[in-house]
Order: sequence, then C-alpha cells, then structure tokens
Amino acid sequence: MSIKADFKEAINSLWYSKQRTLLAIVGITIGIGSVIGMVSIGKIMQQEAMKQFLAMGTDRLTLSRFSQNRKDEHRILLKDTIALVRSNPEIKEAAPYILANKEPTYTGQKFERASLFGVTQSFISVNELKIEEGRFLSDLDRLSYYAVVGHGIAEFMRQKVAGESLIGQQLKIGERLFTVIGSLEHSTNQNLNVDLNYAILTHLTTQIRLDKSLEIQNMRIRVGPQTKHNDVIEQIKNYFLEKKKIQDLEIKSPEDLIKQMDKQMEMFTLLLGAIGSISLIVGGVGVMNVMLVSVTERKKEIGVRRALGARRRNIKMQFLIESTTLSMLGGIVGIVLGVAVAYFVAEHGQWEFVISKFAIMLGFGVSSAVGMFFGFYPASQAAKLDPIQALRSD
Amino acid sequence: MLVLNNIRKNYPLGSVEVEVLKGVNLKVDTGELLSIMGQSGCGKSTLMNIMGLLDKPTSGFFSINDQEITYKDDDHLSGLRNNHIGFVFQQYFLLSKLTALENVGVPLVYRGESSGNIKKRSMEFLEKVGMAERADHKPNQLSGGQQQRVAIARALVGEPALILADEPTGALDTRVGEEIMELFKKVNKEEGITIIIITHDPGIAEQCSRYVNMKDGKILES
Repeated sequence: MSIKADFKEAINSLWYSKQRTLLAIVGITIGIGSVIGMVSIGKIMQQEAMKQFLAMGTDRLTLSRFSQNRKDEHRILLKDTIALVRSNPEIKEAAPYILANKEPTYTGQKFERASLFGVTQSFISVNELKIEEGRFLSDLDRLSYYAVVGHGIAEFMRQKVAGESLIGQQLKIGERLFTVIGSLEHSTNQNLNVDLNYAILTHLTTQIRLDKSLEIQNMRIRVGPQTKHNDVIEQIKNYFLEKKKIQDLEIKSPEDLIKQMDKQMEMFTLLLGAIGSISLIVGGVGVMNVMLVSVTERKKEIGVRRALGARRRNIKMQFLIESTTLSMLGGIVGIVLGVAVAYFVAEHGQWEFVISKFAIMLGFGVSSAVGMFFGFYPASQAAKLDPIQALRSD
Repeated sequence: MLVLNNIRKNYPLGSVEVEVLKGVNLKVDTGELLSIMGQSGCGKSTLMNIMGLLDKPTSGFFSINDQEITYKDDDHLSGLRNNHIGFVFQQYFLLSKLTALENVGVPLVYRGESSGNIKKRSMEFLEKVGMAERADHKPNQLSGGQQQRVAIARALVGEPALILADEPTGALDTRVGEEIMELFKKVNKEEGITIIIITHDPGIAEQCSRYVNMKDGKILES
C-alpha cells in the first residue's frame, strides 16, 4: 500500500473525528509554537544586536580592569593613555572613562535615570556620538565644571526650560554646580552597557579631582582598519605590564564580543528548546493517547483489512502515518503561531522581522519525529491484533 | 481445490480446553457451490476462519490447490488471502469512511496496484453486482442488500479462486436474501469461482450444488 494512499486514509480518518483531532494537536501546537516563536525571536534579536554592533564599527577594542589600586604607580593615569596612543601607530585613539557614583540634580529635582561619566575629548568620536546643540568637552576643559548631556537628559531638561537653550543651564553634582555646554543626539550605542542617552558627561580629570578613589578602569580604543586585533591586544597588555606592572587587564575585540553574544544566544536557545521539548513530550503523549483510542475503536476495521489481505506492516504503516499526520498538523499550526508571535514581538520592538528557515525546518522535523515516536506503540498494538478477535470485536 | 484432513481446533476456556472441531474431513472441487450447514455452535464459523486462513488449526492437514498451508509466515498468509480468497460476511463489514467504490478497491490496494487501475476494476465489479450508480455512496447510505452486493463485489474484485461467505443472507429479509443467492449462483456459473456458503438455513443449502451438514465439530457424511 502506497504512502500516498495511507496519507489520504489518515486525513480521512482524522477528519472523521475532528474534535478529537483538534484536542490532540493542541499540545503539539503549543510545543512547536513556543519553540518556533522563541527561536525566531532569538534570531531577530541576535540580528538586531549584530546590526547595532556593526554600526558601531569593528575597529574598536574594549579594555577593562577589575581591581582597585591605592597607589599611583599601579593606576592607569590619563597621561598613560596618551602615551599609549603615541607608542603604537596602530592605535588611533583611546577614550578612557570613569563612572562616578554621585546623584546629579537639576533645579533641585533628581533625574529618573542618569549616569555620571568622566570622559576625555576622544570619547565622542570613539563612541560615534553626535552633538545636537553646543559643543563637546575638549582637552582644554581639564578640571573644568562643564557638562555635556545625553539626549534623554536633554529632553527632560527642555521640558523645564520651556523653549530656552540648554546651554548655560546648571546641574548640581554633589556640592558642585556644572554648566551645560552641549547636548548629544539620540544614540543606539550599547557597547558601554550603559544607555548613553541618559549620560551626563564631564571631564575625567574633574571627577578624579572630586573623588580621589576614582581611577581609570575602562577604555575604548580605536585601532586602524587593517590592524590585527590579537596582535595589538598583546602589545597593549605588554605596554601596561612593563610601565605599570598591571596584569589584570581584559581587552576584548569585536570578535570576542560576537563570540560572547553567540554563546549567550546559545544558552537562551538551549533553555527555550528545553521548555519546548517538555511541551512536545506532553503533546506527544496526547497523540499517543488519541492513537490508542483510535486503534481500540477501529479493531473491526483492522480485522476486515487483515481479512482482505493487509499485512501486519500495512496496518502498522497506516497508523504510523496517521499519528505522524496528526502531529504534523499540530506542527504546522504551531509554526504559523510561532512565526506570528515572532512577528508581533519584532513589530513591538521595532526590529526587523526575519523568518528563520532553520526554525521552520526544525518545526516540521520535530513534529513528524514526535508523531512517529509516540505513534509507534499504538501502531504496533494495531499490527499485533489477531484478525479473528479484531473481526469479532465491536 | 480444498482438502481438509482431520482438522482439529481447541480453544482454551479458562483452565480447560474446549474442542470445537473434532476432526473435520472435507474435499472441495474447483467450481463447486458448496454449502456447509449446521446449528449455531457446531463449529462452522471456526471452520470458515480456518479455510479463510484467518485462524490456524490445532492439528490436521489443510491444502489449497495442492499447496499445504504451513502458518509459519504471517505475511505469506496475508498474501494468500489477498490473492486467492474473497470474504463475504453476515454483517457486510464495509469500511464506513470509504465510498462503495473505495470499499471494493481495498483488496487491490494491498496488492499495490495503481489507483487508476483500482478505480477502473472496482467500477467494473460494482457494475457486475448492479451497484454502479451507487459508487459514491457511503455504506450508511445503502440498504442491507445493497451493502451485501458491494461486499460481494469486493470479494470478487481480486478474481479469487475461492469465495467464503458466512451467513451472507442472515441479516437480510427473504426476498433480498434470494437476490443475493441468485448473485452467488450467477458468479459461480459464469466465473467458475468456487463458493462455500456457511448457513444454518436449509433453504439456502438446498439451492447449492452440494451441501454438507455439520454437527458437534464434525462434518456428517451426506
């Protein structure tokens, strides 16, 4: 008996008991739907992150250091960063920055979100920021009480000043008043793990002067477009080891970050896969249950078919194809559902929607495998039936 | 074409064995229209199941066309049923989800024939039993007599050497039962197919070219 004929029979028989079919596929649909949905969303997010990342340029290294140091000879000082750039033609710019822990206020009011940075002139170019109004901090602004505000902070302040320029407005940080000299355009840079739209940028030297415990622990470095990242990372490490006996530097290249992102994504996918698998097992048990009922109900049919010449394997195949069809019906609905969910999530997050072909293939593959696996036992039961007992049953 | 020699069949019933067939001897020639008659419980259905290769005897010799049946290979038995035996049941046993035409074609499906060929052959045999205009009806849209006609077409479609009919008129009224008997007689005469009808009705038995009586698990010599 051909698979095509079996398949037609299966559709026929599933259609005959629509309600039961529908109930049986709910589990599979939810299982496949969640797997597809989550894998698709994961892929959309990954792509989005990658896009932002590429927009940020692939010629930046991120340096970070975790230990605090009391003595100047082990600290990274501003002059060291300047000397570092001079020491190596492959290093184009270095932008050290400090995150300070003070609460800024404006006209006596706290900001809902604000992070206080100490930076240098190169911060704007290395992080691809753009000035919206006024100017950025320059190397001549050492020890000054000037501030440049991120887009979100600027919006907040504009509501207060009602039409007036932000330039010249004063922010209170700790006991000091800072004068706003510029604001930034909206930024999508997420490389610092802090939203720069809510940043208040002041000169690095000013922050260190106000709080002696602060030191440079983070830096973004721009290198030449043809530079071999691993080589230059090694050179920077050696530089600080020789000059400052610093051993705890971590320098990451874009390749490292991509790897890290992929690894996180993998974990995410694995977790979602596990959740999906559990619902698939539940769904599979549902399919098995329905198939067992179907075999019991159709004993007479099995007996008649056997009398008319069906071999055991014909009967087995018939029920196996039926359970696989059943499961795949659930899978198809699940795929549609999952893709729809991913679409709405992408729409909501204003991300570019992509259909993951892998996810769809996975959906088809897994749902048919579930159908075959959980249909195997009922199909074997059907094939094992004694023709006479099957004929006599009602 | 059929030879049964000292066929015995025991069924376990709880802890005891019940002897249903106690040594059946029977020879059936090609082209015969034979009736096996007996009261219910005499073992005639068990005998039919054995002759139809649905059941295996506890002991005894059974051959079809000089080939001894060995019961070792289930697939082989299925193949023999499919190619050489047509069944007609008292309760028709048509598959409820299939149309009359599709029901007739089932034995050919298991022969692996092409769907076009199956359709053509099935229609041919529906015509032969006078059911062509009901080809697209489902069994529940047909009367008992009509269903039995479709069942006979299904038994004939594979051009078997032997048709086994178990109380084929048992669920039908007398007039329709007679029509079915006429159909069997016609098929036997025109196609030369050997037909064995199991019945408890002497009226049916008398219409056959030969009949044997069965009592208490044995065939009485007639």
